[in-house]
Amino acid sequence: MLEDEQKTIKKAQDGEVEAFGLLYEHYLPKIYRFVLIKVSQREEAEDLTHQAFLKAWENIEQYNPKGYSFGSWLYRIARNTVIDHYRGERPQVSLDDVSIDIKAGGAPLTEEINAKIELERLIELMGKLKSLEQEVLVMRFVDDLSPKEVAKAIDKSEGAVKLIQHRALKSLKEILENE
Amino acid sequence: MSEEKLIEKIKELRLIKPSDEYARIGRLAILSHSKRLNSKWELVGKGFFAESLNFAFSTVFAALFLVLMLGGAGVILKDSSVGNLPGVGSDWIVTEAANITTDIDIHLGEASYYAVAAKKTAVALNETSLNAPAHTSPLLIENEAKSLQFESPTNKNIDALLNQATL
Repeated sequence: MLEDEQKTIKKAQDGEVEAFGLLYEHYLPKIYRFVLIKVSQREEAEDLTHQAFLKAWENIEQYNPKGYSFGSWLYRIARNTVIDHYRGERPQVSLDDVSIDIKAGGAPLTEEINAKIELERLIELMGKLKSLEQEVLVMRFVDDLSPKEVAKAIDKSEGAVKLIQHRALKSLKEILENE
Repeated sequence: MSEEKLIEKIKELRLIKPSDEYARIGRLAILSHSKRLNSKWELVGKGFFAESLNFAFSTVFAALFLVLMLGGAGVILKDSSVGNLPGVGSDWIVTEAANITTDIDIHLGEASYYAVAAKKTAVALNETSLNAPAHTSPLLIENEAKSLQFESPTNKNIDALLNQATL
């Protein structure tokens, strides 16, 4: 969570552009990752992430801190943006389509390439999971959201989130073993 | 593969980040995007009903404002005795209107006369150009010349009349 997040959100709700800028910088990588793993195409992920933040900025007055975290609210917007974009159809994922940028933190080029290939492969395999399972895995393990926050973002109960998480891990394990 | 190892593998996806250029341009684009309307200035919340209500409120306020403006102007005109000034009173306006009507009638009469006269003139000119006037006829001139007795221009009648007048 961003330092003094509630104050920053309040300022952004009062129309302070720079305050929303701080929120954007903090949440952009998370939301971008979330969208990219769902759509598997960099350009599309960039467009949809941009749309999601635009919606968030236009409707920030509607965010109520008492309801759920700002992160959950943003994930919810991003999720709905992707759903609206595909109108119920799941994006078709193939290894050729997956093109991602990674920042391996100064690792040698070969390691970086290997990491990239491995991640692209993992995204492709995760694409075989159900949409909701994919979302839960990303929010829980990539972005460290609590089950409660995930529940708010996907509009399910905490119990349902834990169940989906369990099924998702089991399915992914099977996919990897059968690869 | 154990569940822990699988989770560790999933966590590696954290390495995925948007490019710096995309982040910079996207930030600029979003922050320069002007918001539709600040909620502070809305009378009620959002949604179709609320927006309709906002529109209705705005219309009512605009109508009230107009009524107040016009009503205020009426009161000012009535109370500030502007109506009593010469040139604003109703009797003067009626007289002035009657005068103007008379003037208009006169001008219309003149215009009508000129129109008729112009028509007659045009007809006369047309006839003249087509048939030469009688007094220019050479036959008529010759007859008149004969009757005038140029050789002995004394007219007995004229002499008698002159004598009568002078005596």
